[in-house]
Amino acid sequence: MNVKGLKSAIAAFLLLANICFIVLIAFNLRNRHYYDSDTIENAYSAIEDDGFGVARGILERKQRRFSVYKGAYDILSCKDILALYGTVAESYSAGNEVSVVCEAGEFTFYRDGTFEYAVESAVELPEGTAQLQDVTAQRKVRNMLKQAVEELLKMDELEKCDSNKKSNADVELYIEKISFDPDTSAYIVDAYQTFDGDRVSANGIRFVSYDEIIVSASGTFSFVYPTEKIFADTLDVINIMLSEKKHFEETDMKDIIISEIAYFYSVYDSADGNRYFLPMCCVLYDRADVFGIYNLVSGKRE
Amino acid sequence: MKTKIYDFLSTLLVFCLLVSLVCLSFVYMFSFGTGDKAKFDSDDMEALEQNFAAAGYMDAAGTENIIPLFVGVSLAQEEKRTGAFSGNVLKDMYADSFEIVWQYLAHGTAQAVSDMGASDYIRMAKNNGFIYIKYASAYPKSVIVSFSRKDTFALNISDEYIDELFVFKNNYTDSVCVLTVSETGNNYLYTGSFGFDENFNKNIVNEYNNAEGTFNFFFSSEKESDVFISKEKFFSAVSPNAVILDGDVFLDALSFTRVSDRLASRGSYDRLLSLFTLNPEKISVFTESNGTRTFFEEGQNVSIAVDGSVKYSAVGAGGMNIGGVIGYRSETGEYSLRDKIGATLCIVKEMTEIAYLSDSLGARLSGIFYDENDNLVITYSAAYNGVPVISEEAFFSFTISGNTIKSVFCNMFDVSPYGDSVLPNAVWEYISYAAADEKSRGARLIPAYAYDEDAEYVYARYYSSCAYGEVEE
Repeated sequence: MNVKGLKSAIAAFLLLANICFIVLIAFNLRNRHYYDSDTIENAYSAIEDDGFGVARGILERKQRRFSVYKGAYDILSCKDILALYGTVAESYSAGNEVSVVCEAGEFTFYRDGTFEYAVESAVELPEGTAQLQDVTAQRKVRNMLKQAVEELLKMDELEKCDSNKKSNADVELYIEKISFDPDTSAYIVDAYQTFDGDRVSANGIRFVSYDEIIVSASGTFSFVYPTEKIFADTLDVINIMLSEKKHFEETDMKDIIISEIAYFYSVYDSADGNRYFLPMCCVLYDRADVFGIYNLVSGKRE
Repeated sequence: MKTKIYDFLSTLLVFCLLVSLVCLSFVYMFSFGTGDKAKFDSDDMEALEQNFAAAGYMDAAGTENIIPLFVGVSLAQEEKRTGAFSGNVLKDMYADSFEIVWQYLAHGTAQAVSDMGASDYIRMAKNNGFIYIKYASAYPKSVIVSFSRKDTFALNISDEYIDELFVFKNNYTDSVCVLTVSETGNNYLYTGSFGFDENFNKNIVNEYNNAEGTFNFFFSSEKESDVFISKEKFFSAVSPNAVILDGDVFLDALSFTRVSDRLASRGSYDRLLSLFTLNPEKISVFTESNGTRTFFEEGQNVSIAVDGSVKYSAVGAGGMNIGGVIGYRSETGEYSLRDKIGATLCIVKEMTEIAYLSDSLGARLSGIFYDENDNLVITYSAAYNGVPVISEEAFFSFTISGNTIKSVFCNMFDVSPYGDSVLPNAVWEYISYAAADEKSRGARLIPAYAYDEDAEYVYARYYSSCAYGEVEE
């Protein structure tokens, strides 16, 4: 065999080997994220009976990888963060909250991670939700309000302040829904904080805006960013379903279907001064009044 | 030319395929990878859940619940010496001193020391310079460390009982160490390398020397030459570590009031019943001839007397589970001594809030012991700005069987300060105490108030303190 022929043979062999590896990697990655069809069928048949169902698409995918976030939690002791939002006023109440006054209004921060903001002047807030129009899709409104809420929360400066410099989490604010109230011309913005793209807290934050100015805000927002990210050993989706079925069997509910699983983080404050964000999931049913919340690390139904 | 280009391209292709194969083989190997190995698992979660619950009782607990009777610091050869027994200066001095102490108690190496060895080390400490802390009672080390420094809660700290401690430079090892002493004879020497040298207490001495509320002091063992009675008689009656304050000591005069009227409202009753887990919709009420109202519900009852004392008791399997009080259900059903003390503190905090007690009046842990039925008894005494208030009945008393609180007794009162008065001369108090033959051995005299609700004013005086915080006149 001449050199040319040898080269061709080697090239063919290498090409074949490359293709083999690509197929193996693809297969391996798929196995990492999805169950095989037999396992899925067995799981659905084991879980679904007696009027208890699971929507297709839930069991196919294996549990995502989650992290536990850890960091200092007491915003009351982070004077640099408090100073970012105004003059630190001596308005402590029972040691669990602190208020700071800025030019337009007043922020009140609570130790449990919630906060409130209100402008000084009395503003009529929209009542009820019946007539609200969903304007989430309007790009111009969305951009305008996203900028307004980020300016209110001072997202850029917050990331750079001393207490948050060491954080390795990518913290963002995600606009979930924007509603418009034609009676008061107010925009209501529902948003939530994310760590590395994952939702922090089930409750989120609600802002009310008039004339591009935020007049009120309340909700859960971690002003002190986590400094440590620990990979978590989490419960598998199939185990959650089996646990939920067991819970279902203890009740007298019939004809109910699990429609979705939503993920978020829940806060645990440790006595040693650290705040932990633990991955949780909410099992949603086709009935709005029924749901189950699981701690993905302990596996306990809360 | 064409052949050369072909050769070059075919060689390049083989090379690229080879590089690609190597890369893919690496990707394949890492696709099984262990890089995302779980680090936070269910065991960590259980520990965190316990910690999370503890965050609740650690809010209720604090230094004020174990505030020492006395903190003193001294340079070598009594060159400079200062101490405090009340007020904010006591808290501050304790906090600064504990910055050194906790590292030895939490991370040091412990070595048991005999009573004779402890006496030798104490002599060394008094000569070399020291930090001295005297607690009102023997407390478990875990309670002392975690209540004094809340960020140490997660550390696994043992429960050796500590009455008093000395920090000093050990001549044998030429390093700083901590000697803990217990009245029960369990003494420990804690050693470790934490970066302290013979100047470990110099900053504290300089900061507090002549500060308001501090005093020069000496130990009874250092005052042999001034004793007007025989040395044998004096030292048989007085502990060698008894602190004798030097100079005039002024303390507020107090008047005492019962809190019965503050507990009489419907709102207070509801909070009390809720605190003791009684359901207002299921209770039966019985009023005795002396006015005491007793609320019953399924094996538990709460009695509120006209003098404001409150008693909770449970029979049979009833009672308040420790886990229910602190908000954490242990998988094993077992709770640590610190959890049990934490549960009692949650109740103490809520009771003092219901009774609107003055901020200057605190509940100090005064006793932890087992009764004849093997029940754990935890008691609290009142302290006004850190100065003990002596009363016949404990401010709070808890009886715990296993992991259930079976009875609670609260004898709350409030105080109002009126001017101040000077304490009698401490040396003469000790001498007259020692001169009286019938007194107990190894006593210490501490400034304290004796509760008297009938007296217009009560002045602080010296009272003898026995072991475990029981104070007698």
